[in-house]
Amino acid sequence: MRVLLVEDDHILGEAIRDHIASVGHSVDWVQRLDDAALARDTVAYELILLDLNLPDGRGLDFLRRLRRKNDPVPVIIITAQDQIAVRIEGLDSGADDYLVKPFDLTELGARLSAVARRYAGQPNPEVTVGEACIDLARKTVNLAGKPVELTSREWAVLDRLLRHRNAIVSKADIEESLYEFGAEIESNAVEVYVSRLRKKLGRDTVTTVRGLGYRIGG
Amino acid sequence: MTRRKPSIAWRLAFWLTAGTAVLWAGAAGIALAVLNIELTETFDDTLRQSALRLLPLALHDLGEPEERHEYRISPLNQEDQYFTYYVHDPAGRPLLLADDTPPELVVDKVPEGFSYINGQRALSLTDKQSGFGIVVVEKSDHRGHAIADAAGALFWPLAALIPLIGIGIWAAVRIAMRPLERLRAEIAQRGSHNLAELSSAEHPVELAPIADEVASLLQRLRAALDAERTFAASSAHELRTPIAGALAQTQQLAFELQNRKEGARVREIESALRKLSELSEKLLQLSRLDAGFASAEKPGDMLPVLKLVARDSGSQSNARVTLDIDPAADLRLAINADAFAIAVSNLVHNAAKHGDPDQPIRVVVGPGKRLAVINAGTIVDPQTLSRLGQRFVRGDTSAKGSGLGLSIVRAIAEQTGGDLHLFSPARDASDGFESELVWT
Repeated sequence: MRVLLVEDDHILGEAIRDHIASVGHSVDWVQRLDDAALARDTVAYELILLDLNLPDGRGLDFLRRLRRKNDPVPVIIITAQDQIAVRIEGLDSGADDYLVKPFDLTELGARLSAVARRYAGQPNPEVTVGEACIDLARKTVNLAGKPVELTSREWAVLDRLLRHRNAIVSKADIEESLYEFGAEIESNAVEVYVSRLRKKLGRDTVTTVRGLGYRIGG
Repeated sequence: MTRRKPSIAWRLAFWLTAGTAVLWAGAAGIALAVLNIELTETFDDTLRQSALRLLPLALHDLGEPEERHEYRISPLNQEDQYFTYYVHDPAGRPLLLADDTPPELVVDKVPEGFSYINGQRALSLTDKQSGFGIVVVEKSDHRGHAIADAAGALFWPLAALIPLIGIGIWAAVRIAMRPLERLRAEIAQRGSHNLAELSSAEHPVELAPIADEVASLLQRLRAALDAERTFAASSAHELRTPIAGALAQTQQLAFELQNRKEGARVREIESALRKLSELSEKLLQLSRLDAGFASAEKPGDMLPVLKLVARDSGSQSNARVTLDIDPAADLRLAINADAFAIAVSNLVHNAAKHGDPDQPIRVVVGPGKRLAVINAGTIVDPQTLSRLGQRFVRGDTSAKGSGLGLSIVRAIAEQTGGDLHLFSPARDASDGFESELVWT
């Protein structure tokens, strides 16, 4: 999943960025709203983590502008403001969830996954693909009862495919979820990670649809 | 025994009544003195007129001096006579006297004019040509009785009317003091939790400056408390971001070092940071409470807030929270929504921290204005239970808490007209803990 993090505090932003990346999502971090708007116009993010007080304006105004443009991207507000009125205003403005600082990074990860699953029409975090039992919330995979270790990029590819289960996901879409801004993209990276997933989860787990992309089935 | 405070109304009524009584008594006394003088003159004049008329008649009836000897005259009727008289010769020997004249009133050498004989008013007149004289003496105390009757007529109505006057003055003072009572009642309702403006009722000219000063004082107090609350809220806001940054960096470091021995030390730092974060949060909540932010002027429905906070608190505490709302529940409360949220989150966090992690936390709402948070787990002994809710008092559990959560909830309940009740075991279970908030 590709996440846009909008947070002006350098120490906190860095920790959140690294944590999200370490659990298998790609993340772009901006510290201003105008950068966030530009990033959103450029990339199809699957989730935005939005601070409310930013140097060039209020996060809520940015969120309202997104919703006015009928942008359905899930948004989780992360803020130091704990007032109920602000929380309700945030949710009424179109936020999907609200986290008050300081929060646990695992809590953030769980909320992030829950919101993403909700948007993918997959509220149950546990899915079965062939013989593999995948827990999207806990980031665990069991194959025939035995645990399987996946790297963060393998998770990113699997997560993107599961989000559009039984549908064809283009190579470009998978690449989007793999890399952060500025990262080098190798031309065969998607093929490499799909191949690794097949080795770990079974050959028939991911199907190649020639000329269109990849599909994960039931 | 506490001494009852003096009442202005009572003092006014007492002293006005006493003053009226004294003035009335004084006026009556002066009137009585004047009346006494007038009555004395009238009675003396009656004695003089009687003597002047009786003496010539008596001398004529007595005839020539050699024929004169003592006569006694019977009264015309037996009714009480106010005075008696006797006529005497130049030597003072009585010649003619009324039959009912008491012997003690007949004395020699009565001085000319008015005098007293054995305490009775007497008038002695002497004919200068013949040397014969007459003494007219009041034989009863009808003069004193007349004065006493007049005094009674003046003082008895006073005695009867003084209580009525007192009641009237008391009623008048109470009516006159109603604006003061209203102002007093309004000011009495104000406190650290209620600094609402005084009603704009017209105050009498004597009270208007006091009402204005109190209103001004309340305004300044409100501004000071608002500043304190804003400072506490801003402090909370400003503290959260750096703490969140430090905690997140530490957590991420612990995540990255999870399988190395340095990871354990980082997790200790993370644990210390969590405690610091929790303690600073609780102290800031207490600071806001001390500024009296919990109560609200108008009641609002807290059910949506409860749903939001119960979900968030459960998620933050990594606990399963079930919400059971009675159809007769009524959470329309005059409470600040943030204070309500703080109370609920503290109770849920408390239940998550000390309860059985495998059992859900139950939040039961209603019937009425009642909210209970129930967790399974060990029973708190009665002695500890009675002390929970005091600042920095912790239960005897392995879980580490700040010892402030329940005291914050109790303070919120007290500021909003509610009560916090603690039970262990929970009332519908054989173990665990139940904290119940009830508002009237």
